[in-house]
Amino acid sequence: MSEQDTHQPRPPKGLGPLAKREMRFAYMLLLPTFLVVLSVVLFPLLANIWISFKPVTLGDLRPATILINERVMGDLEAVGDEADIRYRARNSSRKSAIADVVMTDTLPASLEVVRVDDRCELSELTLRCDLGDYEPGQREDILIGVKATGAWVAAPGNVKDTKPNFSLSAENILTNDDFTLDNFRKVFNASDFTTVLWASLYYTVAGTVGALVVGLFAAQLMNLTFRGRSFLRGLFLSPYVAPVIAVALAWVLLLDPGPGGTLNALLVQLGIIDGPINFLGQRVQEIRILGLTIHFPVALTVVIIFEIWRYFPLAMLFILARMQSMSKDIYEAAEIDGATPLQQFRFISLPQLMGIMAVLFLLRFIWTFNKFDDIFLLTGGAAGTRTLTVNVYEQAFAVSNLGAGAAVAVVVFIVLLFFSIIFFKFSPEDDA
Amino acid sequence: MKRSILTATLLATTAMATSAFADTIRVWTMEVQPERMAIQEEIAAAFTAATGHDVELIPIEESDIQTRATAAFAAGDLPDVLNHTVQHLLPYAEAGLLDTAAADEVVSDLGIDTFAEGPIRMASSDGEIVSVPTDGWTQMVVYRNDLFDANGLEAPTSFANIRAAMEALHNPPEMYGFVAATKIDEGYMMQLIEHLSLATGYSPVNDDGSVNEDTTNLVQLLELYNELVAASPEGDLYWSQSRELYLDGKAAMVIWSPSILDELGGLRDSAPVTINDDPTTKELAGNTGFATMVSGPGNDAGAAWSDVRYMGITADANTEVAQEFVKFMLSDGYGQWLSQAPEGKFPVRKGPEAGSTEFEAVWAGLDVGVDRKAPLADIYPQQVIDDIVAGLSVGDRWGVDSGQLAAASTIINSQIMSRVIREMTDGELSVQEAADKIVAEHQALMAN
Repeated sequence: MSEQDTHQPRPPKGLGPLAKREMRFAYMLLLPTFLVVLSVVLFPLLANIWISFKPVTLGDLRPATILINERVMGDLEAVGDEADIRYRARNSSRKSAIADVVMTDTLPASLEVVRVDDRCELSELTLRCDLGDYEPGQREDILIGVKATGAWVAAPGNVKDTKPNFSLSAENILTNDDFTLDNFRKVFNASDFTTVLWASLYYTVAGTVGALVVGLFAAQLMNLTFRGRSFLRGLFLSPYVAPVIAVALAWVLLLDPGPGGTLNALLVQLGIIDGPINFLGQRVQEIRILGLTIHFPVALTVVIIFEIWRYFPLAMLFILARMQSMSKDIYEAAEIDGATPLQQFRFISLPQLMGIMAVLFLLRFIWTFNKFDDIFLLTGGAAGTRTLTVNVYEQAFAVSNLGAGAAVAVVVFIVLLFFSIIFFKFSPEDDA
Repeated sequence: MKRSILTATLLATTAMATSAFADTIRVWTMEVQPERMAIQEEIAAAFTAATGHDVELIPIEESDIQTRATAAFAAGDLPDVLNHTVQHLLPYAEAGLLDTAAADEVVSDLGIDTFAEGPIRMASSDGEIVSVPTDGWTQMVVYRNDLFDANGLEAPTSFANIRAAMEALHNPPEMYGFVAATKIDEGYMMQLIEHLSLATGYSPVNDDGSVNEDTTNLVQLLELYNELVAASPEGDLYWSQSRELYLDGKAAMVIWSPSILDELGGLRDSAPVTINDDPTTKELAGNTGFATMVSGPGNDAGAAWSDVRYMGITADANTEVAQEFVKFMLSDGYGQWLSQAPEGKFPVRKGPEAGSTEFEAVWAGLDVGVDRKAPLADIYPQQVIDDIVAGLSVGDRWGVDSGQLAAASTIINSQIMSRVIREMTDGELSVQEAADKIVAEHQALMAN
């Protein structure tokens, strides 16, 4: 019996050689796709991290180079007329030097060269000028004296037809091996870094949770059958699909504390508030409840409400799709057992929805943490709504300190990476 | 005679240019309104007719220039000609965005003595004129003359007078004493801050380029700003609300650019005068006074704030064609260029040659207004117009006299003062705390 057992043919474990070869071949076919996707995803990320360790300001985006302007100074109208070809060269940067500048150019054959600048030599028609080193912002003229010949007068050429070429070595901060931690030092030492970080986290967590909860309720509502459901569904999607600039400006107008602000006018007319509230401009409002004083962040909360309003449809769509794939039988069984609607929701729907809600939470958290346009359009980062992404923008574009902007972006990336790791460790498994 | 010389030189350049290739140059312009774009298209068409080169005009909002230019510079895709303001002059020249030699050549070809002195002084750096001035304007305190007279107030030409006027006239919501700027990402707020800073003698940079640590004058500015905000309506305020409220007769004073001159005269339907039922009324214009010089406790002489627009030739430019275009715009096309908005575009080039005031004369006869047109002289007394225009020659900016415009521009572009002042007016910082924070943040900014 045992002998027979050992000789009995078994199904092969793992992949056979043919299957392996097929798999390798498939991967090879897919390799270009992987490479393209990786480069599209990874390159900007790596470039950002690279820049964050470099002292990059506006002028460093391009290495210094020589700007040249070539023209004929004087008239070359008759045979024997003399004039200068002037090359006006300058170092484009006022901050970094350029070493070993060599200029080469081809002169028109119909001009007779009478003088060449000391630094230049002429062989045949090719002019080669060894200009040495250029200090930051240095500029100088190189003059070549020429005389018109009969051929030139008959058919005047243009000295600019041949462009001078340069060989030079200039420091490029973007690619050299000069690294610094100054950007990060600056970011972490900034007086308002913790404020900005907390504003970011508060905005993200509240915005994400709010969008999910509102989305859940909306999906619950849309899961019922009633007249006009498809119309209402389309209407619910409008905040998500409308252009952000249009809805942001509409909100700004509605919330305006001035005479044109609709919401304030309504609230004042209804007697709910005494005077207009500056919803997008007021940083905190002291509220006294039961002897406790709460500093309520007004503008930040309004921005969060905007975020919830704008993104609950996305959550609604996902949750609704999951709800419609749930089997009806189990609800009928629960009904027979006497479960209340709330119990049905708590013990049947919610467990089945946890998976999709978790995925949504992750996505929304990442997107909200990265959100820039909404806040920027509503408040411009004023009144306590300066988040990390607004900070990136300010550093990179207002102050032109691209290194510091990139450093803040790296901080954003690390926070999100950290969050994602924790999330994947503890996220609930989808049971469907 | 002058005319014929001009025509002759123009013909000469035309002849030279047509022999070369016909190129297309790209011009970024800050004048984005459709009516102004139409006028610029006409100038471009005339340039094409004269030289054979095409011009592609690309409208870029003033507030977008910094981002767009940064991106274009990184991508190697700068336009040929870049229309920009004072605060970009030196940062762009030093970063290598501008071909300063090309601009210098244009100015000397046109004749440096044909330009007004102030704008040239601002653009002078390292012995060069780094960009070509095209037009300018002076910021003004616009105030209700009738109310000032009725209350026996003096014109708001000093901090003390402004305070007295706010005290006497602030009566919300019928009348606000002032409409300050509180929207921190609008350049308008920095303009207001800089104007009032100059008035009381505060500059964030010292003559040697270091950050000014003496907060005496800064505190004077911040105290006034707190009072200005207290006398303003709620909200994220910028130029839009201050104009709206003033045209509605609900503000006693605002600080605005001369662009408000035609709107005050009821010539623009998108910004109508709403003090009565007639949007074309000249009543408000008649009741309005203007002050360009303001003095503060730290500076008895006072100061005006002016902005100048420049045409820069960029490092990526087709240099010669770009130069030709700028020259064309400042000679044959200049009258048209100024006609886009004469009330906000004072001529910085006086005439086609030294001593001539031809362009100034052309400008004085131009109609202002959008939906209805009228020469300025029909709406305001000549004395008022002369006063406003004279501001351009005394108009100042931080760091111009001491040669520290570059450092001052960095500070302006960072908008640190707007942000901290907003925190102060929100009640989070005291005046002294705000002053110290401004100094500390400026030092941190200038440290890199």
